Amino acid sequence: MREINIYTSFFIMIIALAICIGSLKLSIYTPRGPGPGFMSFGTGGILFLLSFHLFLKSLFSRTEGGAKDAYPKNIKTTSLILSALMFYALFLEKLGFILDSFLVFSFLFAISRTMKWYASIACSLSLALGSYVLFSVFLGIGLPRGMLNFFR
Amino acid sequence: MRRRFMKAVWLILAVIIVTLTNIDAKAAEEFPNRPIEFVVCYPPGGGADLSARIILPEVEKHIGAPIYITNKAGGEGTVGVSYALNKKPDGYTLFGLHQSSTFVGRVFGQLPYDFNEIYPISNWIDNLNIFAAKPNSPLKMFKDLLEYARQNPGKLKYGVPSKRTSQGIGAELLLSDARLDIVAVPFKGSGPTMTALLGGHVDLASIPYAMAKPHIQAGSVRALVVFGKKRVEELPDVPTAVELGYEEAPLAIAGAGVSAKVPQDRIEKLNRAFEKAMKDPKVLDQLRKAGFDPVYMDQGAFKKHILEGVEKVNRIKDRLKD
Amino acid sequence: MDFLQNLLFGFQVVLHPTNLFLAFVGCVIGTLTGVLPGLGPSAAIALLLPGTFHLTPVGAIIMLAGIYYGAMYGGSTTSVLVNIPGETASVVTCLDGYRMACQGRAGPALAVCAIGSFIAGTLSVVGLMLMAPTLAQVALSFGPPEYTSLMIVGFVILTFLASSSMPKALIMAAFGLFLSTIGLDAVSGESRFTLDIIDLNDGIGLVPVVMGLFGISEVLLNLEQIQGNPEILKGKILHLYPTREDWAKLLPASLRGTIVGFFLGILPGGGAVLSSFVSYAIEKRTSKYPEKFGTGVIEGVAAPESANNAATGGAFVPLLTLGIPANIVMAILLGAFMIHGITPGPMIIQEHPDVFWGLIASMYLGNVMLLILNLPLVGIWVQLLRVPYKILFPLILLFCLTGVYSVSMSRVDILVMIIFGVVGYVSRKTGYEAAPLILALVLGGMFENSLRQSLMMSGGNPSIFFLRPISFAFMLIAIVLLLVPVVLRRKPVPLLVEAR
Repeated sequence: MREINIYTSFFIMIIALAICIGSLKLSIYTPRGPGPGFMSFGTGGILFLLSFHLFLKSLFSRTEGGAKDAYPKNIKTTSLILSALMFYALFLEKLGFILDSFLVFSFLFAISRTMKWYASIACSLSLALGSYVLFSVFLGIGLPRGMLNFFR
Repeated sequence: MRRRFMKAVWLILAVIIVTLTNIDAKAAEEFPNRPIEFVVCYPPGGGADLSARIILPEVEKHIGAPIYITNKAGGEGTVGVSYALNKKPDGYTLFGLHQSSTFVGRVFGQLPYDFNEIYPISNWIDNLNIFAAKPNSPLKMFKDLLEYARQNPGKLKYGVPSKRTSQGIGAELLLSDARLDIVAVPFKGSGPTMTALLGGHVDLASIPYAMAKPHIQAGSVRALVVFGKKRVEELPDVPTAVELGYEEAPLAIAGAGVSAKVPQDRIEKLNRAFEKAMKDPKVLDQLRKAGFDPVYMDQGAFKKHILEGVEKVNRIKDRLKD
Repeated sequence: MDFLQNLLFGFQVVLHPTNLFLAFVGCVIGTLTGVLPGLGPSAAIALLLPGTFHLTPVGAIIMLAGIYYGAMYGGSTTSVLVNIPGETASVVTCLDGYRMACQGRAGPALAVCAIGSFIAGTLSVVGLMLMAPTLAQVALSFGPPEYTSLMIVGFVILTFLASSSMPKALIMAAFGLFLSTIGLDAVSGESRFTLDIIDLNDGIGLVPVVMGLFGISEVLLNLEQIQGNPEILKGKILHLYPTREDWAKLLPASLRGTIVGFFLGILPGGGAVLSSFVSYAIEKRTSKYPEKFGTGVIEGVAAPESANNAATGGAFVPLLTLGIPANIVMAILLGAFMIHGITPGPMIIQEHPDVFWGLIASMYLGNVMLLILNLPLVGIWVQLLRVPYKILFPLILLFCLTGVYSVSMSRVDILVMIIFGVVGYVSRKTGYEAAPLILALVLGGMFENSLRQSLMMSGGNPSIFFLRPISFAFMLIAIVLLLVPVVLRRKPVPLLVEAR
C-alpha cells in the first residue's frame, strides 16, 4: 500500500494547491465576514495538510505489499463500459430515451457475452421499452423522445 | 461475432432512417400537428413547475395539440432556456421565463444565450412580496422602521431568500430609495428565511406574502409594507411602496417564452391560446388556491416589463452584488 | 383523553375506502421510487401532484405523504443487495447492509430494514402527534449560529465514520467539503469552480455523486473480477428473517436511531441523510466492538434505517405547525396543501381537523401496510441475487442512468455520475472510503451558509457562537467528543490503524 499512498497523496496535494489557487480569484474575506472563496480556500488548505501528512507518513513507513489489488485488472471491459455510458449521456437527447437505451444495452449485453445476439437485442429492446413505460407512463417523468417525438 | 454486430447495426440504421423520413413528411403540414414541448427550467415541484402544470393543460385545449413538460433545471433557470433555444425554432419548443433567465441574468451578464433571442409570450404570476417584522417587534408600522433604521444605521438585519430574487430586488430598491442601512442576511429559499424571522434571528424579512400569510393571520408576524403598487386584499391597512412614494419593484416573473426566430403566425397562435387559458376563471381559481397571484400580461406588456426590470436592477446592481 | 378521540376521528377519515386505497397506492409508489436508484420521492410526488387535483384534500395529502415515507422503506433494498443506495438517505445502509448480504444474510438485513423502519415510522408519528407544537418552537430557536455549531458537531462525528485509515477518510471529507462550494455562491452570486458550465451553477448534485461513487464504481469493480461474479453471489443464502439474537441487537439500536432521526428531521435542512449518518456514528461510538462496523453488524443497518424513517415523521412537524417546509419533499407537499385550499400553519388543527388527524392516522396505517408489503418482498429480493451478474449489471446501469437523469433532466448530471464512478473506482482500489465524502458534501453547504449568515448577523464577530446558549452547548459537545478518545485512551483506537 506504501507505493499507492505515495502516488495518491502526491496527486491530492496537487489538487489541493489548484483549489487554493482557484479560490484566490474569489474574495476570501470581506469586512462583513467570510467571502465566497473562504470555504474553498480553507478546505484546499486542509486537504493539502492532510495529503502532505499522508505523503510523509507513507514515505517513511516500511510496510510493503498489498498494492496488487490497487491496479486495474481488466482495463478493456472497464473502458468499454465507461465509453458506453458516455455515449449514453451524449446522445440521450438526440436519439431519445428508447433508442439510446436500446443501443447502449445491446452493446452492454454484447460485451458481457451471455446471450445469443437475437436474445440480447430482444432483451434490450424490452428493457428500453419497459423502463420507458415504468418511468414515463407510470411515474410520469418526461423522458426525452428525441427522434421518436411524433408519437405520444 | 462480427456478423452478429453487423446485423445489429443494420437493424438500428433501418430504425433511424424510418423515423427520420417520418418526421420530415409530417413537418410540412399546419402548425401545430405534433406534441409541443414545454421546458420548465426548475425541478419538478417548485413554484415554476407547479404553475406550469396548472396552466398548460388549459392551453393545450386551445392550441389543439398535446403539450408535454420537460424539466430542465440548472443555472438558475438558464440551462432550460438555452436547451430550448438550441432546438429548431419551429414553435414546438416553449420554455419558462423567470427573473434570473431574463433581466437579472442580463444585468449580471450570466445569460448563456443572447437576451434578444427570447420572445416573451405571456406572464402568469405576480408574487406579492412583503417586508415583515419579527414576532414582538417594536416596529409596528413602516414609519417606525424608517425612524429606527435612520437612528441606528446598520443595526437592523433582514432575512431574504438570496438578494437576486424578486424579494431581494424589491427590498434593496426600497432601501436604496429610502436611504436606509439595513443589513441583508441571505438564506437559501423562502422557507429558511421565514424560520429565521419567526425565531427572531433576524429583525425583518422580505418574503412572499403566501409564505407569511398563516403567521400574519395568527398574529405572530406583522407586515410593514408591500413591494409594488398593489395592496394585499387581506391586509387593507398595509401600505405599498408606491403609495409611500418609492419606486415600484419589478414584478416576479413566471411566464412562457419562445425563440424569437419562430415565424410570427405561429407565435400569434401560441399567444391566443395562452390568453384564452389565462382568462379562464377555473385556471385563475386554481392558481390562487396554490398560493400564486395570477396576472395576465400579453407579449407587449411582458416585454416592456422585462426591459423595465433591466433598467431597475441596473440601478441597484452594486447593492445586489454582495 | 382528548387526542385519543381526535385520533379515532382521524381513523374514521382514513378508513373510508377511497382514502384507504389512496394510502395504499402512495405506499406502493413510494416503495417503488425508493427501490429505483436515484429517483427520489420528491420527483415522484411532484409529478403525481397534478393528478391529485380532483381528489379530496385529505385523500391527496394521504397519498403524497405515503410516497414520502414509503420511499424510505424501499431505499435500503438496493443498498443491501447491490451496494447502491436507492435513496441518498440509504448511503449508510450500504456500509453494513451489503456486507451482511455478502455473508449470505441479505434476508435478515432486508428484514431488519423493514422492521427498523416500521418501529421508527410508528414512533415518530406518536412524537408528531403528541409534541408537534412544542417541537416547532424548539426548531425555531435554531438560527444560523446554532446550525453552524451543529454542523461542527457533525464534522466531529464524521471522523467516527472512518473504518480503515483516518487520514484518508479526512482527505475524502475535505474533498467533499470542496465539492459543496462548487456553483453560484448563495451570498454574492459569484460562480465558483464551475468551469463555465452553466449546469454546474446550481452546484454538484448529491444524487449523481452518490450514484457514481457507489453505483457505477461498484459495477466496475465487480466486472473486473475474473469470474465476473461479485462476492455477494458466492455466499449461500442462510435464512430469511432475523434470529432471536439479531432481535436483541436490533431493538435498542432502532430506538436510538429513531430518537436521533426524529429530532434531526425537525430541523429544516437537516433531514434524513444527516440523521442516518449521525445515528450510525453514534452506534459505532457506543458499541463494544466498533472495529466490527463495516463488516456487517446488525446495529449498523438498524440504526440508520430507523433514523431516516424517523426523520420523515420529524419533517412533518415544521410543515404542519408552522407552514415551513424542512426539505424539498415538504416544499412540494406544502404546494399540495395549498392547491387544495389548506394553509398549513398554527391554525391547521383547528381549521382542518380532518386533514391533520386523517394524515396522522394514515401514517400509522401506512407504516403497517408498508411492513406487510415489504416483509414478503424480502424473499423475492433475495432471489434476485441468483440472477447472473452479467445480466444484472446492464439493468443496474440503466436504473442508475435513468434515476440520475430524472432528477433534473440534465445530461451534465450523468457526466458527473460517470466521473464520480471513476473517482469511486480508483479511490476504493486505493483505500479511500466514499462515505465521509458524502457526509461532508451534505454538511458543507449548510455549514458555509450558516457560518456566513451568523457572521453577517454579528458584524463579523465570532463570539456569537459562544454567547447563545444552544450554540454554546453544541460547541461544548463537539469539544468533549473530540477530547474523550484522547483523554480516556481506551484500547488502541482501531479507527486509526492503517489498512493493510
